Amino acid sequence: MSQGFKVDYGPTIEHSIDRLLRLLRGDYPFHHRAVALLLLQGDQEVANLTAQQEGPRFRQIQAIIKGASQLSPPPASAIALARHRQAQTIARAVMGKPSVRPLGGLLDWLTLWPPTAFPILVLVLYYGLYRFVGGFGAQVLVDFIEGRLFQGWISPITQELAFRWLSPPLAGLVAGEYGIITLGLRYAVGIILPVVGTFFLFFSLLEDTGYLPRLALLADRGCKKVGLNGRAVIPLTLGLGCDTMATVVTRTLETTRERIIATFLLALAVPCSAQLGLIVALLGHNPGALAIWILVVGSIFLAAGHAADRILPGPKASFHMELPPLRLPAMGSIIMKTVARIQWYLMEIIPVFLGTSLLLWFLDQQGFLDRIIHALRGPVQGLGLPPEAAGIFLLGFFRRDYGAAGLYDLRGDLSMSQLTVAATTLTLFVPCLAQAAVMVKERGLVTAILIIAIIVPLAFLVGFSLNHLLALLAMIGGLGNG
Amino acid sequence: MAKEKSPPPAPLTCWPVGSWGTVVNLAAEGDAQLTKLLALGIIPGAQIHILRRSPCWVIQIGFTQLALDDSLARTILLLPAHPPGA
Repeated sequence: MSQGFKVDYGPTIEHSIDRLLRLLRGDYPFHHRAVALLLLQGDQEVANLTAQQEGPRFRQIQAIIKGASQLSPPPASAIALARHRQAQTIARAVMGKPSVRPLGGLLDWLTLWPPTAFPILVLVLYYGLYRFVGGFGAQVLVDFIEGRLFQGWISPITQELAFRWLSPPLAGLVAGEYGIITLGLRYAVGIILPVVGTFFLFFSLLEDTGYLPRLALLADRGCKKVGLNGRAVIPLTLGLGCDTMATVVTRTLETTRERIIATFLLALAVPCSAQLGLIVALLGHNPGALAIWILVVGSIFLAAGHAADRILPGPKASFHMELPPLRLPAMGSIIMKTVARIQWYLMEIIPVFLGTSLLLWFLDQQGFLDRIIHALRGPVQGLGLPPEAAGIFLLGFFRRDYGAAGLYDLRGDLSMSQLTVAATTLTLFVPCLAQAAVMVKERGLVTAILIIAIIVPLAFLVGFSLNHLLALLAMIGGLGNG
Repeated sequence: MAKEKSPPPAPLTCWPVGSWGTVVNLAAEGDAQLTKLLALGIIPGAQIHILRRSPCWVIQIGFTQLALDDSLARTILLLPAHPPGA
């Protein structure tokens, strides 16, 4: 069908294409002309493929590409321009004047005009994230899958079978405290999957209605303050569900610089659903404590992002996005997208959780965990907390929710200000082990270690200062310590 | 826009909301930014209608509505144009 159609790119580009075509002999998934065009546009993937296919001729090919790159305008621009011209010629021949759509209907306008757009944004996030993902996903579904299915059936049966038939260390690996099924699978399927599944459904709905680009647009100014652009709302809000998954999703950001900043902020100051639930349970009945927690974590988010933006080299993030018209979503495509994303989650994230419980089991076997807990006692006492809280901090690294859950057990012995300090420090303190693993995988070992080396002292420093500040405030104002 | 003598082209960010312009040049910083703008259909000769400047620039170009931040909008140099059909 497209056999006879060819875009004319003008004499200079066409000349380079001809020279390349004389050298290209390999077997490619598309036409040689397409290969030549991609090479001229500087496509690295095709260049690698060509190097494999053409062997000794690749040197000449490189010389042609290099020569062409000196042209003005550069080949990438000239090619894009020629294509647009051609497209316009075709469009003019077959279409009437473009009917202008000045911001479509009323709803289109309301979702962009700041005085109405921001309240709408708050409503969408409240019902979508807080009520649907946080309420239905993280509570109702988690209670059912984790509470009923895992705690009630799967874990006890696995434990029963494993400890009857396997040697103790091996049984521990499968069904112990850090077992692959009793920790890894329970965590990934029982806690994270319901949250992530409902999140994906909400997300697909936003995408299909065309609201998502508006969300990015509205968030752009705010994201710029922390060195990111509007696109970063996607991984950042995803982090409220699961930081491990959100770190994988930072791939969608354009530059390495933005990916590093987003990874850093997710690890430092974006609490995941497991943490959020327990922190709200701990501090929820004391609005003052909750407000302090929000204020401190929020300020650290802004300050750390701002500092990262100042320190990291490279161009600032720029933002562009196509705004599709708002429309009624198609149920079929929403379900299809949600299912595809859940499949992706199962394939990409679950192995990380399983690997993590394997590593934990190993460390526990070696008595390594106890040694770290012992080393943490000092800093923990610096926060004004009892030394037993050290275990909570370590477990906070291995499993974020478990750290907060440990705090929940201790809450009877702690004052409100101690709880506030501990909850704040735990939120900032290193990500869970699964997230650390993904940070290494996505950003490389050096960057991951650097990020963690910044976060750990920072979290303790903030906790330490907050502890002293609260003590001072209590002294001045005689404020109640719960 | 009723000026007799054609003024020099000015960046998109200098134009009021509602104005029409023809893209005359792209003052992009580097090839990557230029390629990005071109891929979005912002090419010399294209007609742009500026729809909104806050919270972000929103422009209509052909059948497409695009949101751009200041840093990209600034690189698009426009000459005044008449709205189509006017």
